[in-house]
Amino acid sequence: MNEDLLERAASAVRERYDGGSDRAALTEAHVLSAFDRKNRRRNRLPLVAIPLLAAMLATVAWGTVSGNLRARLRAIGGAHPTSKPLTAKASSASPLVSKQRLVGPAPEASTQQPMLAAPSSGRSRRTPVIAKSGPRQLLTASPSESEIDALYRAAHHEQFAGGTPAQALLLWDRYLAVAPNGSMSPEARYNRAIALARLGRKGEAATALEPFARGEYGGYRRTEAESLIEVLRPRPLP
Amino acid sequence: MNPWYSTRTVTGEFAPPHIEPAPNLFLVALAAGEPRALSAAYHEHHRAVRAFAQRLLGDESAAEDMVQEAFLALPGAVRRFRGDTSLRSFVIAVAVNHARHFVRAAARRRKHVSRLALEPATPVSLPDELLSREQLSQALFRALDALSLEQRVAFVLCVVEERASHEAAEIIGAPAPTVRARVQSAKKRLRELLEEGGFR
Repeated sequence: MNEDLLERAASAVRERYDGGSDRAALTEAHVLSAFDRKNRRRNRLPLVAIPLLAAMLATVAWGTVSGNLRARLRAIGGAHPTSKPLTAKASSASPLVSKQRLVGPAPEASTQQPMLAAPSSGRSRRTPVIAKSGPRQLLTASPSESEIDALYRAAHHEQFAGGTPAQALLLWDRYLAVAPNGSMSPEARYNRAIALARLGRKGEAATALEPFARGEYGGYRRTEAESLIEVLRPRPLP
Repeated sequence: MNPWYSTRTVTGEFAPPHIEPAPNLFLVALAAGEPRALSAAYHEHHRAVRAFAQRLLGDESAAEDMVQEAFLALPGAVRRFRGDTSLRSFVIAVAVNHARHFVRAAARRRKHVSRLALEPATPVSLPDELLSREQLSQALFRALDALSLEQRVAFVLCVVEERASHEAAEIIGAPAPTVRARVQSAKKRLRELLEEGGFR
């Protein structure tokens, strides 16, 4: 009896729904248009992706060749322990100056006072941690990059943030001893020359500035060096 | 190496290697998303797929959506088609794979409608015999909503559509004994539910 009931119910459903629909043609149109859209999206993907990829590769290649990529990656990485002197020096300067250095081709310290003027009052007075610990503790047998960075910061602080020229000279010498060809060595050499001039060692200062005046560092501090040499070594009157 | 000697049966005899049949150009075109192939497949099989969807869901609107979904998924799915079954069974299998969401939606809608009584339970102008069949069919769908999807699909394929268990097994992708067991348990539960609904 129950089996008949179930059979009758199934039969009722079977007869009621036979697959016919007045929306069949509409559904077909929907299927075809949806699939067409899907195909078009799939075909458009390479047209967008390939130029995008090419642009990215070109940017990376250009960045690698010009050296800007490294600087930018360092900037993104922030004050990583293994960061290079560029980041370290930037951290000692004002934020505006730091940005300029990171994006510019020449990593020079625009915060420096090129002439024999007194240290700038607008510069940060924050004393680097390592500088507080004393310059004698700044060198180890084989200093790491972070130690070299700290040494640069200490020298920079000593020269421009209320230290003495003698101490600054000592620190610049130490820095150049451990990183003679470091990425910040031109700045260190120029600042060392300034320190010598402040100490009254005019001859040595002029000698130290000569490579800059000759253009051995490109246009970097060339004009300032020429002017300083004029002051330090006055030409004899004819 | 001679391919005839590349395979050896369990008994040690050499057997001819399995040779892949030539690809069916229609299926290749369908898999590539060729609109004419998709249109041809739709014209050939939409009625069977729609009938199954309607009988599974008891809701013509939801069934139409399910048909659309099945045919949209067909070009991607047909790459797995090996020709072991008919293409019609394969398309229905694709529909079964997309059924869960539609079954839930149809059941939800039915529950909602019955709770609010927005629609009359039966068209009152029908003669007694037809009235009884309509009531029976609606009662069956309400009872089907109480089953699991697996039992529901097995019941619709084997009882409503009167397919053989091996054919239903191919569509479902389960062994035939499993399908038969699902049908038996579905019948038992449906009988109970129909009796609870006052049908004898």
